[in-house]
Amino acid sequence: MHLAANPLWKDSLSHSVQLKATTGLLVFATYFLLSVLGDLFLIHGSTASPFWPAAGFGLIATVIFGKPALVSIFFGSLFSVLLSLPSWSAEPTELVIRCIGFPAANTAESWLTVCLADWLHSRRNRILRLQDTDPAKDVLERHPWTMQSLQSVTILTISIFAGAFASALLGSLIAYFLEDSSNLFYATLSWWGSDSTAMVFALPLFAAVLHCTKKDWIAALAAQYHLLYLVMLALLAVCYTDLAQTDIIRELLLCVVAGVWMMFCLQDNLPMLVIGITLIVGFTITATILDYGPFTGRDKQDEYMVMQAYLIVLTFSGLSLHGLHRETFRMNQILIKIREAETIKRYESRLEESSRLLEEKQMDLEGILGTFPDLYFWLSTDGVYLKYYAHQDLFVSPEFFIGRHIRDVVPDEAFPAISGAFERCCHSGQTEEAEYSLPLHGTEVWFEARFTLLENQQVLVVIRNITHRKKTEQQLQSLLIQREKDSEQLNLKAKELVRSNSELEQFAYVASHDLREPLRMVRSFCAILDERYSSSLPPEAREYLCFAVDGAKRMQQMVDELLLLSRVGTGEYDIIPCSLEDACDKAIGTLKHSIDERKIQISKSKLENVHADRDRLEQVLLNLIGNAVKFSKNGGAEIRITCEAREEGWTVHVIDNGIGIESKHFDRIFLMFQRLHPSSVYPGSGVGLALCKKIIEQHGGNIGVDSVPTRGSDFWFTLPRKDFS
Amino acid sequence: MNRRQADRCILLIEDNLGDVVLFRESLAEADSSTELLVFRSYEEVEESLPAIEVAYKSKGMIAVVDLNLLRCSGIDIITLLRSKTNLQHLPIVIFTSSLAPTDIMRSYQAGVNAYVPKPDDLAGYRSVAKSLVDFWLYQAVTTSSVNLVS
Repeated sequence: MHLAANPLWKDSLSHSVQLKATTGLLVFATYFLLSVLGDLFLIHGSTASPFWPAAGFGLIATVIFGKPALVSIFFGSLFSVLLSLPSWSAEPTELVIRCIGFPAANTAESWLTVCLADWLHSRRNRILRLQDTDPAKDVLERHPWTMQSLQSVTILTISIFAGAFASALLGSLIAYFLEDSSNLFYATLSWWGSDSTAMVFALPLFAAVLHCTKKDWIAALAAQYHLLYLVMLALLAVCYTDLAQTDIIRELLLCVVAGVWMMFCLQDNLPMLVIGITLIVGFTITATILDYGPFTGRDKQDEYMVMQAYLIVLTFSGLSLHGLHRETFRMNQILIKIREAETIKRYESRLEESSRLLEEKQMDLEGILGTFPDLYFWLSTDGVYLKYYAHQDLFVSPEFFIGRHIRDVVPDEAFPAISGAFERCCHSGQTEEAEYSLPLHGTEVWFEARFTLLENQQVLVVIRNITHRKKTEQQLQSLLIQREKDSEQLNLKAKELVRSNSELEQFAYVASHDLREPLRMVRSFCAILDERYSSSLPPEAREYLCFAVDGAKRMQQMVDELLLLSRVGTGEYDIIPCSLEDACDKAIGTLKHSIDERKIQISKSKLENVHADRDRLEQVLLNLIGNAVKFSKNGGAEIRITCEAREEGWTVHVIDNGIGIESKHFDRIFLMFQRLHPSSVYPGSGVGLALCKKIIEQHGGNIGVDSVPTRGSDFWFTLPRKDFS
Repeated sequence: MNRRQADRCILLIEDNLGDVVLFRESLAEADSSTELLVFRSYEEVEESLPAIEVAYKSKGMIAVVDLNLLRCSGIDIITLLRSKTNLQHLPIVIFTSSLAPTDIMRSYQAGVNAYVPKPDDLAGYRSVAKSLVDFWLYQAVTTSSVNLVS
């Protein structure tokens, strides 16, 4: 037992060393004196005193002073043994055994008794604490006869008898081995009786002491100890008047009977206990009366008295043992019950925690679901509604759905789509979708239903209102149709434009033809008039004729160039790699007369092959070089023709040092019939550059001019590189 | 008009009076001995067709046809002329202001012998008239002369 944590030990006095020494000395002295007193009761021929008051004192001293008292007790006992030494025959070994064995037995008696009482007491307290709990009540109901045995007196009595028995057995064994003549049974019995008696005597005092220190020890029970004491004293006084020798085998038999009896006691079975004690008592009494058994061999009155003492002690201690066992058993039962209850409680709290978490999760999930504007249905694979979740009110109550088949619930117009998707989902196990519309509140509402087969063979259906999306889709669709219409119209317009453009060109072509006819008339007959009748005409008329001829001539030129321009737009372009050098030479050849006349220097550099329609390229160069010649200054005029080759194509420059153009006219000069100078000064129709622009644009290139007035102009055009693969 | 004059003849099918005058003036300057017969319309040609046929047998003859006639095209005139067996090989020259490729193609397909654009000035006219007379009536040999020989 854990003595330090023991409530009896804990309250023992613990003061200064001097005080401890004084107390120890006092205990030693008292124990010694009481031992001497006990020896006075020793009957001649017996090994133990019938009454041993030192035992009672030792018990109380141990309770009060704790473990140090055991030392005093040992020495008190030792001195009493030494005092009685001269009356025994002495051998050194025997003396040592006596001097150590007997004091040790006495010390152990106090120690064991206190320990046992303490242990029992602590258990009793635990039971008292537990008895109000439900498991304890349950156990106590099923195993009655409890409260009585829980009293302190019972505990102390059990402790005393048990401790005294241990001490008696030890002491008697020592005496038995030292003296052959000694009777082990009677020695044990007398020792046990004497010590138990002494300790029982001390019980009132002991209870009083405890009462001062422990509230739960009941002093009022002291009367019971007195009664017990008197019974024991009477029995033992009669019992131990004279103990003669007896047969050792019979004594051992007696011990065996006691052992069997103890086994009965350790069963939690009262009928068996009663039967056992009845058998032992009956057998012992019958055997003793018939002169058998351990108690025979003396005069009849002695036999019966010893037998009775034996039976009383046996019964008493057996019943005590049984009570102790029952208590232990009951308490274990209670503890098991309590543990079970605690376990259940622990599991319950865990369960509670789990269900709380589950509830939180459920709330989270519902919160998440609530943020989606969808309806959720769970269907069995047969198509029966199992449960639903909707954050909004349905048009019908959920009870309407639950337990019904979809064919009974879904409107006819939506059923084909929904059942189709549902069947597909059940078969394939994949998420399927269905779209359907229902007329609600006078408008058409579109829904999208998604079917997902869950692991538990349920189908989750999520229904979403997609009217908005659908409307947007429809709007988009109508927009697309509108756009297609627009683009068709645009195409029509483009075709119209192409047609009108070609018609316009055709018109220009035809018109210029038809214009030539009357012009020819004007010119020809003016010429005839001039030839034949100029001599007879007055000078004024001749001058007018000249104006007419000149006008007709200029008109002719314009018509010719208009014709040229109209052909540029209509004709096929045969774009091939062709030599820029050759085209230049050809143009220069055409203009040779003017060039020579004006003494113009012409230089060419880096002219390579370009991709163009040869005739039209010549036309462009003819116009550009022609312009350069036409607008050259008198004296030192130069024309340079260069070409820059690049990845994407070529840029051809025709650079002169002529009269130049103001930058504000750069765009105008490429328009039709736009002239910067009167035709009397620089002849020309104003079509040439427009023609060039049109030709270059038909090639996919650009044309432009950089110029500084009086310094010269740089006309350039680009020709893209074509892929002839 | 002597006999020799009557040996050469130009059929001018032209509705524009100005052109007719110009051609006549030019022809007169180039070769005054060549006779000029002017037809102003399809109907006139059709009417004179037998006379033309007869004349072709005894004279060197070419037909100069303008493409743009009133109410009909020069192509119709060519078809009409070529419809007569005797005029199958009559030299026909288209003399027009049109340079449209379609006109040129259609004319040759109809069986003309030459396509001559009208010049823009008087000098050009004279040159064309002289060339036509020189080539077709003096240098070239036609089926009419074959008939003459036989």
